[in-house]
Amino acid sequence: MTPILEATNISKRFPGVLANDQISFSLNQGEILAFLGENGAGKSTLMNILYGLYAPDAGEIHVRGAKVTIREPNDAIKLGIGMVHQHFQLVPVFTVAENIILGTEPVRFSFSSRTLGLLSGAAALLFFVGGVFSQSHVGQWLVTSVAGAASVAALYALFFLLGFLSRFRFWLYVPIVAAGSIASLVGVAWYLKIGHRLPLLVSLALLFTLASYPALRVITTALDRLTAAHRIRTLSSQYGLAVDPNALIADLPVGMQQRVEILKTLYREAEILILDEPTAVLTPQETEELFQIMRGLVKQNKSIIFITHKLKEVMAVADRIIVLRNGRVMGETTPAQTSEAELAEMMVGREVALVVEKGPASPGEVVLEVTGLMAEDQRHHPALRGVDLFVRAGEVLGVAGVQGNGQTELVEVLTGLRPATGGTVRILGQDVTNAPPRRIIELGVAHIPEDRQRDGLILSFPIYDNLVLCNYYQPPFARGPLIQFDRVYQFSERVVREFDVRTPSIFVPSQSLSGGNQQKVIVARELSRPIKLLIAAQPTRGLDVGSIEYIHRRLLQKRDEGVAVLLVSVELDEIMALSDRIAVMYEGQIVATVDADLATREQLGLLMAGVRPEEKAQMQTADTKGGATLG
Amino acid sequence: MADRQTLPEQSQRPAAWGRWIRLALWAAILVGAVLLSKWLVLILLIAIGLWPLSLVTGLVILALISIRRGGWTWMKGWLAARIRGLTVPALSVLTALIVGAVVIIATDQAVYKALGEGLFGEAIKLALANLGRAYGALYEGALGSPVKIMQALGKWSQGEGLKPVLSALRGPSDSLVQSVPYIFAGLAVALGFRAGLFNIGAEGQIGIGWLAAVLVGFSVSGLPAAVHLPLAIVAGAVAAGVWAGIAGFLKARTGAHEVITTIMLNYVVFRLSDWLLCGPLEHTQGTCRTKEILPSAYLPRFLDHPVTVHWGFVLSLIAAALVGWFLFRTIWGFELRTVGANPSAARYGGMSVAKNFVLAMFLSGCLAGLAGAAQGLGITHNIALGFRAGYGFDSIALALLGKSHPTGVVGASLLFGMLRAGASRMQSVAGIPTEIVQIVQSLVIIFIAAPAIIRSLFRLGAPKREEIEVTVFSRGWGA
Repeated sequence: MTPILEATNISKRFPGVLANDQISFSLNQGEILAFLGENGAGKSTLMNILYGLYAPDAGEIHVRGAKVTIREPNDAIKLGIGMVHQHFQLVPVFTVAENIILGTEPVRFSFSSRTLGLLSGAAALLFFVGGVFSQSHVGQWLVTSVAGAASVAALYALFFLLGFLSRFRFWLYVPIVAAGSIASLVGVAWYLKIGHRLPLLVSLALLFTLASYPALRVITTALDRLTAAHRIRTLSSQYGLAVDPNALIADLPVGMQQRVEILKTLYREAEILILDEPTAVLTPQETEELFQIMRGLVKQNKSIIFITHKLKEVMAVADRIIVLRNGRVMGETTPAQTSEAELAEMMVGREVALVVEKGPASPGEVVLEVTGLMAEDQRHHPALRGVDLFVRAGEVLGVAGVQGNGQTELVEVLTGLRPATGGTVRILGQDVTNAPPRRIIELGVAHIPEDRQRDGLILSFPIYDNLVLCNYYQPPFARGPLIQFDRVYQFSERVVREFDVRTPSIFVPSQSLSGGNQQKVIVARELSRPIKLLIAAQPTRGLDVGSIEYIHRRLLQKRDEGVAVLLVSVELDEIMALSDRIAVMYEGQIVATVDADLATREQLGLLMAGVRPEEKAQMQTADTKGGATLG
Repeated sequence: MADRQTLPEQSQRPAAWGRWIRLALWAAILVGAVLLSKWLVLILLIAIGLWPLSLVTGLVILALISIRRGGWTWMKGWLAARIRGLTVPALSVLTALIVGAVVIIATDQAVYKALGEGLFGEAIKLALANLGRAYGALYEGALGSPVKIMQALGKWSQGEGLKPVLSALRGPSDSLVQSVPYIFAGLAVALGFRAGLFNIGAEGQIGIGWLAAVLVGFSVSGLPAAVHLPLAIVAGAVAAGVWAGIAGFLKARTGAHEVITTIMLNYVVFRLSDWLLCGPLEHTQGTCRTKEILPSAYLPRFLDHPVTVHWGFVLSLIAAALVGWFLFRTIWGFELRTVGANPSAARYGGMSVAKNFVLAMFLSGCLAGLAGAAQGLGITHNIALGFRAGYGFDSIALALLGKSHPTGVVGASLLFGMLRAGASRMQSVAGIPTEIVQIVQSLVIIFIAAPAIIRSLFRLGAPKREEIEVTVFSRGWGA
């Protein structure tokens, strides 16, 4: 069997890097092929080549055995290649159906003989009944009936003719319809011998022409919409992608939005789906649902290319795995033949510890104490509804939870970036509720922000400026009002080496670094200060295995040095690997705090989904060792 | 804090007495420069007037330096680094002048008349002659005539006095005089841009500064010039700074966008000055201007008429150096730039965004006020309704042209000063309206704002990645 998609010796060079170096692979119909690789391994470049966003420097692509050139996404779509980007390309204020049909040829409601038959049949029946009541002869009844049916059919045909014409431009529509209607009216006038009424009739015809255009446009558009919604419903039931076509995108959770993206590609009749890091934004449950959908799609003979750097997911869902490193294919395997550790090694090029080893914690005094904390989100809805927690020196408290349950607001309130509307925050015994950020920083609080590009870095500034963002005004970096740039440079050179930031120099703007190295700059800045409390929000989001391992080591190293660590993450694996205690956050509250050694994924997943501990206790009566304490 | 160990530099610091000697040396140089300022300015003006000669001299000096630094490769690299940034601006000016030439020819009645009579050769001759006269006047108005300067210098060497030299140097002098308010106001807008603020109110702030400086200049009497002049200058700066600070305060406190508030404050200044200058402060009925300031508040000129270059020019260069030092060397400047580049990160780093908005607007206003003070104390010696000469609005373009960097702003201001000085001569000698020069100025800005046009016109090729500098000038309306 010929593979549905085959790429041979694809190469792509960007200034300074060989992003793809002679990559060859094939995709069979009905399989899930996973591309695994670190950030910058060339996965996205390869996919963008397949989707027509980049032109390859060398290499050939065959689709269903035929050689093709893909110049732009439209070529790819025509070949049946669909792509779901990591960042969704949806318009939030439009409905699902509108988003799906956006940019496609409108689906035309089509001439249906069934509808014609139904309509004329109904007309025939109606006119027959009318004839029976108004006329005395069987023959007359039949003639009436046939005439009724014929005129309804004619009206239907006329509507279609006009509907068809109204697809053209106004200035094309007007002369054609005006000519047609005037001609028929002249015919009628001649037949009825009312020639003197001709001017009136002609002006009526013109009026009809002008008025009918917008009316038809409205009607046909509405009918197109209905047809599209019908097709979307068919597709979503066929592939098990339950989505309401009339819901607004803004109202949908991320997982649902992703389904819309997948539906979009299916709607464009894609046979080959490229999913670019689809799980980066999903909760564990949503990820599992996505995998179900993927398996369903493959069963119906669609083929999927799945891009990720998460090993677990590859093992769970892929049929075949291709590992990329530095733009080259490092190997091809199947989940049955390999292990996570082996894949990680192929991906990074050295042995990687997937779960960083950690010794037992030796908690000291309480560093951070939060009681009854309340705060509002951007839209002034309550985001924190009475959070209670504490973190001791030398321990990691992990805050688990599905994105959007108040974690962002919690971190912002603790660091002074968002006002608290109630409750208290105490750091090292001092009340710092609503204290300015600088006072909190000077108490020895480090903050690895969730949105590193918005809060953590000044992208246009060089690395050395970013490395002193929090203490540029203190010695040794400043003497009086003057910044001592020689000290700043020395310090930067040192920590860039120490924290393994891969950069040509400390003088390049931080936007030129990769995501992992940008995060390392932040980590370097925050951890090179003497600190008592570290608040890390999603510290490894979007990073590759190597960087994750590195940052995890650093966090634990700080814990072992006696720093209190508050780790907020939506990655359950990360929470479980690093935490000594786990607090689960749901709708602005800590619903439970669990000892990390006793916690299970299932238990945490249920807590994250909002199943209250007592319900869970009933559900899990068998599991008696669950060490949950009520939050 | 993290890096307290002793650094090797500390031991290499010069001993205390060495520092004193250095300080004394600098002081001596400074005093010498002030005493000799007349001759230094004369030399500067001659150097500008005879710029081809200066260029060659400069190259020779550079070559001499390069012998010690690494020869031709070093010199080539140095020159390339200077020229790279100047290619697009220089070609923009050239293109704008070419388009300006087309406009001059296309608006020439005589050309049309000749064409109407079928005299094509005549038309071309007329067009070229007119163009030559216009651009000749523009050049002479901006840079002086090298021939006349050489002749005057010759006469001077034969003991005929300085007068002819001074008249020959009128062009360069006028250019510098015109560039003084441009430098101050351009710095004002550039400083605002660096803090992410779009200060459109420079025009009004110039008026406030001018007014305050002149008020102090004629109303405070009995002071020596050494006190009176600085007092008037500071009054102008602070008044305008406080005025602009209103916009900063409103932004920090209520989030009112500075574009709106500064535009509205402009109108307040315009109408306020209308009333003041034609009302309470009017000196002679019907002139709409104030009293003359006392001579003790004059910004002294270096040389005699018609060379009107005054100390304001030196002050503007000092201001540019100070702004550069402030922005790129001090913690305040770091905060200001951080707030401008990413307010979220600034808050994260413990900086007060609100405080920096007020500070940036205050400083921006101070600089604009200095532009007004320099005009009032150095040129007009009073304030009349005509103070609204457009320096404030042009300065937005200057800050863009100079990429919000003090050096760039000074360069752009000199260019605009030359064009403005040349324009008035072009009008008086060749009868070409000054609006032509405004067209040229606008085109220069368009070409520099859209470098793709110039790059495609001259087939320069795409800029290298590292050359693309994204400058965030101002935030959107919501932020």
